[in-house]
Amino acid sequence: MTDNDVIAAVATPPGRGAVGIVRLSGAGAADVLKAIFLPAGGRVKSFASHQMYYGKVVHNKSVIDEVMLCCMRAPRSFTREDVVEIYAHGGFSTMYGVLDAVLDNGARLALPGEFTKRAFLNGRINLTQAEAVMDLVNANNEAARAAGLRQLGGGLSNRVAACRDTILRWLANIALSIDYPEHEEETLNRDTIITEGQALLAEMQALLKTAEVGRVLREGVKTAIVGAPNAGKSTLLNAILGEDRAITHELPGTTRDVLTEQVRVNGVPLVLMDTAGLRKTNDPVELLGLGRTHEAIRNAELILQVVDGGVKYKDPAIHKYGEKQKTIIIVNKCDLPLTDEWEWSDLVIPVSAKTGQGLDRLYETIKKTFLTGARDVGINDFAESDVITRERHRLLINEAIGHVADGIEAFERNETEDIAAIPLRAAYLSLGHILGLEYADDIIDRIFAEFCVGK
Amino acid sequence: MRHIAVIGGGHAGCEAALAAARIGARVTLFAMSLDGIAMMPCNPCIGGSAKGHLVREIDALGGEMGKAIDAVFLQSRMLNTGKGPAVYSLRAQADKKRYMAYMKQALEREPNIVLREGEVVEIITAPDAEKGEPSPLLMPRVTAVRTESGAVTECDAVVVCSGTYLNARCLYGETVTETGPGGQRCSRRLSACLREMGFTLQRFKTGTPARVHRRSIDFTKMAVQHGDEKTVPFSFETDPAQITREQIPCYLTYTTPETHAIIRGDIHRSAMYSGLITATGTRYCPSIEDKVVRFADKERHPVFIEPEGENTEEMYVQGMSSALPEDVQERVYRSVPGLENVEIMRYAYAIEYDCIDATQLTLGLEAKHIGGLFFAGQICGSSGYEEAAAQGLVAGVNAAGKTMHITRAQGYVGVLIDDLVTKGTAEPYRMMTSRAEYRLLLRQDNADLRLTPLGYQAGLIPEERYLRFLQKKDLIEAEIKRLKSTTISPEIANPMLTKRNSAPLSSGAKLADLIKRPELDYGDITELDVQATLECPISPSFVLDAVREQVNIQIKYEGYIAMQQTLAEQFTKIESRPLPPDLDYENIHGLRIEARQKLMKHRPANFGQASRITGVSPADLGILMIYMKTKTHRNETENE
Repeated sequence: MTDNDVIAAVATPPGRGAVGIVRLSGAGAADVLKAIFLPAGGRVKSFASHQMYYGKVVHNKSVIDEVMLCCMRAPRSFTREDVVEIYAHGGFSTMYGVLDAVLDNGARLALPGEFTKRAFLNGRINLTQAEAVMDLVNANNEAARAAGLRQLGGGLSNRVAACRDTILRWLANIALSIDYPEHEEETLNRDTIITEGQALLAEMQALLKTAEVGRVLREGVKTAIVGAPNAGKSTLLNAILGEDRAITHELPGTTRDVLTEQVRVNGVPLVLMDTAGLRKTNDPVELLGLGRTHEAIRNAELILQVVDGGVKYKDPAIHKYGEKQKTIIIVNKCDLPLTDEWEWSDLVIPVSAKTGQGLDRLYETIKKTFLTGARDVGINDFAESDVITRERHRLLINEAIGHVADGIEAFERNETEDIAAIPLRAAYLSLGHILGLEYADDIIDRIFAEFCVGK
Repeated sequence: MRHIAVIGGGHAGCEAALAAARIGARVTLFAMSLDGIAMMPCNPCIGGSAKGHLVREIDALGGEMGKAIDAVFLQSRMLNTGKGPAVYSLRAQADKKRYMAYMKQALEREPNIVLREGEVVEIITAPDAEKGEPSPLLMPRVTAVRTESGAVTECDAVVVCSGTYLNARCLYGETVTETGPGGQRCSRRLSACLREMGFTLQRFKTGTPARVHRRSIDFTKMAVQHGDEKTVPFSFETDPAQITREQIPCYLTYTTPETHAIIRGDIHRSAMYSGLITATGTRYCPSIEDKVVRFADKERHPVFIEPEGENTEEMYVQGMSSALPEDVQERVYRSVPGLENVEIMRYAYAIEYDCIDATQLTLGLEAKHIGGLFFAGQICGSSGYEEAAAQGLVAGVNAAGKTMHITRAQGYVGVLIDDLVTKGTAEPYRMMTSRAEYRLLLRQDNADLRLTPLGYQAGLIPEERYLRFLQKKDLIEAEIKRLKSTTISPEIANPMLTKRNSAPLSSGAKLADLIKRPELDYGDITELDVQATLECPISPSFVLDAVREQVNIQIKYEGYIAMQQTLAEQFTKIESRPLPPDLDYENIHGLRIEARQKLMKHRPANFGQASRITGVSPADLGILMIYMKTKTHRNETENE
């Protein structure tokens, strides 16, 4: 922890929102942009203070988002340091994509209350506010400690601890061979570490994948209910919600706005967006609703496409939406005679929104689809305690993966133990931070617990 | 002229006295026996992993240990050469008697040192140091020491280097003698004085194996261990070419299942297992009983036979420290191949002694609550000659009125002292490379580059040595610069590259980039580099070898070194933000209770030290920073 290194965090609350802000503060904050920001007007030598720039954030050779950004040079900023604010499209993947990009290019994740703390230390906040700032930092301190204990429930923390223990075993072996060269104790050779390293990396990647599940659990799956007018979209919404939230009516076009609701089905939180029916119209209000429907579809991860099983459609009933969306066809009104032949599958499900028939299958499909990541990583029973839900934890795992890969690569390059131990030790520390463990004399304790050495 | 009283003439006491005297203080070194100066009561060797680093650092700072061992070693080896430059470790077998003689004479020849035989029984302070928390405003200072005869010697500072002598007891079997190591008289009264002054005493235990007669050993049943053909000296000032002595071998053998069976059968008779010993032992030097009990499934343990000196037939049996009674020791030793007819001259024993809780000391090794009172060596909870000597040097400099504070990023000496005074230790503390965060920066080869400027600032390095050092440093920097800017053509480089199985060049390359290839080093490059004429006019020519080694390592590991350098700089930054010694942590709004208590107890000198106290979180540090800022702000406003 130093005084004016560049810190970064998502400044807007997690969850939905049209625009989100990633904020950086510290000496050289604007330098971070050089590696990740492609300004629309061509290269910028030096970002002028308090001026907006438009361009793309690029990370690992792919475009994360189109953004606006603004540099506020010290001392004319909130923290009296150089501050950069990046205004990106809201939503988890873009916000954290942008954050990842800056963290990979010289910034570090800010501690709770750190922006405010700096603002105070640099005299931006006056003395009378000092105690309030301390309360704030302290509240975060206590909350983080309490949360730290809760956040990592049995399953996940055991797995992180096991990874850390593997690294500790390597480090103890390396330390043993260095500190007790005269003892011919069983030391791991580099080939063993390289082999074990592949398994360890796979396990840590699996842990990282749980972060995706964690995000789903925290933010919910954005689900758009779409379909032709009167296919029963709002009835389906109500059926899922189990209450009369959306106004249903026989008149087509009743739903003119996009309604959003949150609900949990089979443990999966959904953010349901009921949309205006898709049809040609000249009604200006309905047109506005249609615009929003298209936007909802663009933002959705899951599309529940509702078709009326009793209607003979002229065009093919099934639309293909974007690549990133998962689409499930709901053939509604299956309690009544169906006009078409359907080939039922997990993606084409007969439902009666009115009677609730078929909803179970739908829920099971959603769970299977959005929590597969969890099954891949060996979690059967979904609980928040089993997956990575904190951005800080995700970053630390990611960091640890990088370090372990570096260490193994060093061994493969035939570097000496003292060199390879450097990244391995860093990985050990990163995993320790996740578990809230302080670095003590673990390596040394391990040597004396496992090996019989000494004069 | 400041007068410093050094209590004890072991490895800490010797370096403390020499350091204080060399920077201009008048020193009286009290030793219970002047024949015990610089005694090595346990193993006959100096250096080894991490400990070798300490000796190099002591030398770089202007201490004596490196020169002493260079003058008297019997065998020298560079360990870990295959494990990377950060962990190369020098170890030498010492001729114990000659080591003592060398060091005693070094003290005798120092104009500012008076050696005095006598036991210090009391440290006198003014005002009297009372039990409990003294007010920082009325902090007592040492004024004198009193010896057993009642004689009072006035002094400005005291360095306590009492080793393992405070209330010492030696034990084996049921035999308990109230002596210091090797039958030396122990100190009975100083412990009580320290306790009255408010120090928390701990009881530690360590041990030593038997000494046996050379003629009774069958070396044909053991593996011979020779020294290196080309020896590297410990001191940066010793010319390797001047070392021409014949090296004496060591021997390696192993315990047998029979050894373990004998120990198991009579374990209850060991002072360690009969309940006689209650003190905390160290994991670093386990007794053979401990090894057999704790690692029951291990079939054998190594036993090293090492010479104690050239003018003695005594041999040291490393690996067989014990507190078993005589008859069992006889049987245990004789069950080891090569020792079937062994003649034990001195039996193995365990020793218990008093030491202080070093968290009561500052980073300068001075008591936080008594001015002018310093501690160094095993009294601080460490074990080992090298650890003691390193602390002695730092305590000596600070006692003499110069400030010397070596950080964790500057040297193993810094890691050692910071660990002891910040975290304290629950068992005798041994230096290990894994304790250092910036191991790649703290190499034994660059100890002078790291620390000689600090030794010079303190006044420990003579002017002409410092000039030679600066020239060496400049030479290294200039050569690295040249190698980075000089391009070599494929025509010149490729024949050599082909010969070394290294990919040939298609266009010119910088010499430094070739050195970075794993299969090449600086030596290969100089072969084809006609410009390479290193000159060091005021230094002996052996320094050039050190320059070449340095250039090679610094170029080869540049990337990793830079990474650790960045971390070390961050560390140094936070380390340089002071915390006032009288800060009232109890009343800092927002600190967690655990943090308040820990900070009150430890009173860290700076934010860095505070961050290493168990139970102080990063958020607590944030609150402290805000508090300190508020405080200075308030003071400024009040002064306006």
